[in-house]
Amino acid sequence: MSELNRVIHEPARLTIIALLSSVKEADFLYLLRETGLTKGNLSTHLVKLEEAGYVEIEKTFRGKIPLTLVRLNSEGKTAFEDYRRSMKEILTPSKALSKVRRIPVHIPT
Amino acid sequence: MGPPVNVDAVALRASQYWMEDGLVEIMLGLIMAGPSCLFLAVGAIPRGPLLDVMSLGGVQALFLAIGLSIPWGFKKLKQRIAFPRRGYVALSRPTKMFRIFMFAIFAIFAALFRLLASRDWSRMAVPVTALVFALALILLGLQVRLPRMVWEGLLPLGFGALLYFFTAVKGSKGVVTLMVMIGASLVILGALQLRSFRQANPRPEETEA
Repeated sequence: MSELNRVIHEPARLTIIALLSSVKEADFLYLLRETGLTKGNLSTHLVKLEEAGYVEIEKTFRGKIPLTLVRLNSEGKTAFEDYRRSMKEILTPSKALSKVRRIPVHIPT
Repeated sequence: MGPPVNVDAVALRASQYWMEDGLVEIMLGLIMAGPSCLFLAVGAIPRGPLLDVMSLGGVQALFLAIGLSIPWGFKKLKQRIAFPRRGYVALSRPTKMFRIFMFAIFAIFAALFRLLASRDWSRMAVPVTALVFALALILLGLQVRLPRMVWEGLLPLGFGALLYFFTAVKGSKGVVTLMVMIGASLVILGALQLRSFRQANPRPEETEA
């Protein structure tokens, strides 16, 4: 059985990665609204994902307002796909197990 | 045991978010109604110098201006209304396979409309067009799991039935009239959706986004 990626397995980080997996890029406010995390929590999780090399964070400005853009890079995409594959393997019952379940049981009376 | 996160539903959020503010409906409505109104207006111009100018590239220039200004306006409105309230998100570019598929669908429908423009099939032009637009909206609504859009898919069917059973319009004029009706109703529904979006999401103070 393949081992789960602990960085991605944490629910908040998994939500962040799942959100980023379907978009080109998103800003901090979008992730804040969609995840329901606090600013501090979201920042911490983003730093962890950045340290793991899964996301790229770009700090820029929209006019005079600071804007933090977050993107899932190719390593992050691969890690997310691997994680999903591992989860499927864990959650799908093996063929051997499903055969065992189908064996009729005779209870002596 | 897996974490309680429905990854597929979360990944779908970006598409749903993109449609939450009603601007997509407004844009679709304007794209449908704008050129159609122009087509009807040009058809109503009496013979004269204005019609000559229009036939010498004026119509094409206006179509181009409408075609370019609507997506430009959509982008500007998104930046002004939606992104400061709920955050900025850029959707991924469609894959090459998806673009080929969409081009094939477009080519099939272009051929179908060409057939329907002929005199023998002109009576069927309105119901078939209505069915095509209804299916497009319903499938889009089902794909992004947005019930509002599925209901909006019933509009073309209603307008198509209205034109088919209660009027004598047919052929290209019927199609254009239908597109004006669908486009105008989408703009109205989009504007209502935009109003409730703005009420539900007041503009936050200008802090970090």
